[in-house]
Parts: sequence; structure tokens; C-alpha cells
Amino acid sequence: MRAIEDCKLYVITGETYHPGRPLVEVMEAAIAGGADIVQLRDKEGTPEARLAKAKMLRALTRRHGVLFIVNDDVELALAADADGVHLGQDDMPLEEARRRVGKGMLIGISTHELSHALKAEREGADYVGVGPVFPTATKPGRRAVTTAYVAEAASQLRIPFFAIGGISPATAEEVLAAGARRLCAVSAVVGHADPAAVCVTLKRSIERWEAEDARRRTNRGTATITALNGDVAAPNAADQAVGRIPLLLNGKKAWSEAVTIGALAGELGLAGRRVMAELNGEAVPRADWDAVRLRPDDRVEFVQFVGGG
Amino acid sequence: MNTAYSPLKIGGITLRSRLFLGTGRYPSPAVMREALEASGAQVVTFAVRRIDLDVVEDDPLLGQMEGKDLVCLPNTSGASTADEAVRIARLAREAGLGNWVKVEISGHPRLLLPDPVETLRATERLAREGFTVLPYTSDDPMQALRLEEAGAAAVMPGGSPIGTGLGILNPYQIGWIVENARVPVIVDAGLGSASDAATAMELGADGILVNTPVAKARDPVGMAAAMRLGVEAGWLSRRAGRIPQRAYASASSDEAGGLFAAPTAAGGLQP
Repeated sequence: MRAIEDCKLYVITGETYHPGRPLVEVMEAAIAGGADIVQLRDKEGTPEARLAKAKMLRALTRRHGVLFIVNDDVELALAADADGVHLGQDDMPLEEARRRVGKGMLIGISTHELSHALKAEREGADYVGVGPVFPTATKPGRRAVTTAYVAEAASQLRIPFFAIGGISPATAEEVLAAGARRLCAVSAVVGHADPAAVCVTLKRSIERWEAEDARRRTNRGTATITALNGDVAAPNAADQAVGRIPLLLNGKKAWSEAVTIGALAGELGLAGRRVMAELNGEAVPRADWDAVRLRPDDRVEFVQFVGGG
Repeated sequence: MNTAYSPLKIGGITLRSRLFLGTGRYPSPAVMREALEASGAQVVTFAVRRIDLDVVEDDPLLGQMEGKDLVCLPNTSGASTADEAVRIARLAREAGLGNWVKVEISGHPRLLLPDPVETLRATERLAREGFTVLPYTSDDPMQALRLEEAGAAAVMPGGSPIGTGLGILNPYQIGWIVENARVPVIVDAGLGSASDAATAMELGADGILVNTPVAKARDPVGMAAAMRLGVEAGWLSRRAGRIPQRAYASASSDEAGGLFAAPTAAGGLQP
């Protein structure tokens, strides 16, 4: 069984988002695109129908070597031989679920504020969901927790957390910038004509941020020396704590965690586009983007070709 | 035979078309692509602008150009000094689409006429940095010479202010620029229709650049084709040599062998 730590992209079923297309076909496409975990969420069907779906997804996920989680229903998870069960704040308490499923099964908990997540971690949850980050049709009426909670979770939790709620290729960069490195999507994937392509895009975004993390770890020594030389204005305490620096970005004040021009471009969703960059009035060749480091109050311009005579 | 597409060489590149096409203000990217095809143009111009970071979307413009054998000519519009134009040119070069640049430094808010001093400075600096520089200039033969000395690969005098469609307001000056120049002359700005394109070529221009008259025509694709033919007609006409203009009529056939006596009206003038 794949370790939960190695899982980055989590996709939940939502059959109302793909009327006319079979569940297994849609979820198989998601797996083909890079989903590491599939969760069955079905609150409508009869027990028999739900068990049938669970068994189909179990067979599918086993064939592809990805994790299979069942939402809410511990008995169904056991009956279908799932890898885990996922519980909401109002479902069965974690302790009781653990007694029922034993140590071998994963337990995930939905959390909507830091106290929920810390409690779940204390009680032995294997992972938590953090969200809804953005308002979502999947959970109408629930207030969005915004990326502020994502940032808290990133700095406080030791167990893996998946950012969930309104996650799509359009919003992923913002969530990753806030500190998430695992994403969970529903409608953006299963409601899309090409679930595999959406998963590929999301997975690539995650991998870009992980690569940037690795680079940052190796570069940390250099950054410290620069600061000690005293030639950089110190950012305020709060921003320094999360490693953010102020920039003048396309003429507007902005804060960023990005260490290089390349990382900033990634954060803005500009990677892979024909875009030109300028730092403090000097054009930066594309080949140097990942080497050119940002300092507080740098003036950064991203430009492109538009129609003209 | 596409005689008009006999080689014009600028900055080491041999061009198959003497018509340069701008990419701004078309009704849609698709219309622009069709107009580009109808025009046969090889050199296409662009402007450089900030990306709207709030609305990150794919750039439809360059997508229309993928896979085509085009020469990219970014302009420095938006610059009002040589420093700004140099910055834009350096940024444009990082797109990886060659080293051509049209220096365009407008001073006047309503006429958008080029600032001669800043244009000359920018041309000099960019030519030194290895750019292929095509400065947009007013129809001043002396300024054109100065730009050539500064390293311009071609000069681009305006027929009239940008986007006015007034045509060539001073053919005498354009004629003198052509007469003096040792680099190609591309008439840029102000042309309104295919007849203006032909006129420019008949005056001896090596090519023309149009944008607004094509993009804003009722049928941009049709006008693009008309411009192509206008350039070709004007170029052929120039090479074929027009007859001297004269004050009086001259019959197309000899009088000898006429059936009737020649008219000798009282007071008639004898050539």
C-alpha cells in the first residue's frame, strides 16, 4: 500500500458533476492524470448500490496501485476492504472509528479551523482535510476558511494535510503559495471533460512548488549571508516569519514568498508562457530566472507581446 | 510571377514580402490570422505590455503565429525617452524571437509624431548592442540620414500620423528620403488604402508597414489582399518607369494616314 506521505493529489467522487458518464471511467481518467487517492463520497444511494460502487472503485484503485478511501461510512469501508475512511466533524468520533477499523486502516478528518486539525493529529488521524479554502458547490453554505487557515496548517501540523474546497488549476497556485503541498479536488476534476488533463496540471503545480522548496533548502545558507551583510531592508516581523518579502510587481505593491524570478513566475501561473521578465529595469533572460534571486522592494515586471503596429 | 517579392534584405534576412503587417486592433485573433495570410506579409509587428496579473490567460496572439515562418518586429510604443525604448527592446529580445526592434518614441499626445532626438539616441544605442533597428521617423530626409549613420538597418518614415489614414502627405520628402538612403526605406504610418501603398512603392519605397487600415477596414482580410496587390503594383510600376508628366495631350497614334485633315482650330496651339 502506498504511504499517505507520498500522496499529493486526492480526488473525490461527485457523480452529479458528470451525468451520463460512468463513475469508474471518470475516476480512472483522474488516476491516469496522477490522482494518488480516490475517495467514494455517496450519500444518496441504497446500501447495496453504495457497496457495489465501493467494490468497483476498490478493484480499480487496486489495479492502479492508488489508495481508496470511503467517506463517512466505517462499515462500508470495512466491507469494501478500503484503505481508509474519511470522517467529518459531525461524524463518528475518531477514537471510536479507530477501535472499529484497527491500526491498519487510514483515518482522515475534515477540519475547518486549526483547533480541529490539532485535535485530530493528537488523536491519531493519518491526515486531515483543510477547507473549504474557497466557497464550493460541493459544500453549500459552509463558510470558506481562506488561505489563512492553509498557512496556519502548513506551519503547525506534522501530519499530511490536503487543501480542499474550490481547488482547481485556476486556484491551485494561490493555495500552494499559502503553504499547501497536497491538494484535493472534486468538481474541477470529475466535472471536467478531461479529468486526466486537470489532474496533470494540478500535479505539475504541486511538483513545481516541491522543487522550489528543495531549491530553497539548498540556498538557505546564501540567503542568511545576504541578510547579515545588512544590505537588505528587513521585512516586518510577521512577513519575515513566513518568509515573505515586499515587491513592486507590475507597478503594484505585492508580497511574495518566492525566492527567485522563476518561482515568482510559477506563483503567478506564468510558467510555460511566452513572457518576459525585468528586474529593477534590467531584462532577465529566461535561462537565468531560477538563478536570479529576489530582494525586498525589488521592482519586477512581467510583460508579453500584444497587438501593435 | 511574384515579381514584387524579389528579395529585400534587412539585417541579414532576405524577405519574401515587402509588406509589413501590424497585429493591433483586429476584430478577433482569427480575423488577424486570415488577414496575415491574405497579406502574404512576413514581417509582423507587436507591442510590449505588462501582463494583467489578475487575469492570467493564454496569449491568443502568438498562438496564431506558431509554426509560421515570420519575422517578429516588436515596437517600443509607450516609450517617451531613449532609455525607456532601450528597456523595452531588451525585454522584447528575451522573448527569443530575434533581435529586430522598431524604435517608436512618441512625444506629441495627439499626433504621436516621433521625438527625433530620443529616436536618434535609442537607435544609436540599440544598434551598438547588436539589435536590428528600424526606427519610425517623421518624413524628414535629414533625420533619415542621421538615423542611417547611427546604425539603423532600415528607416521607417511616416506618410502621415499613425492611424489617420491621410496617406502620403508629402511625397516630395518621401522621394528625397528614398533618393538619399543607402538602407531600405519602409513607409510606415498613415496609409489608408491600397492606392496609398502603391503610391509609396512608386515613390521608391522598399516596403510599407500597415496596421490600422487593414485591421479597421470593413473587411480586414479583403484589405490585406488589396494591400499586397497595391505593394506589388507600385513596385512593378516604379521599376517599369512612369512616363514624364506633361501639360498637353499627345495622341496614341501617328497622324500620318489619317482619313481627315488634322484639326487647325483658329488660335489653336502648335506643340
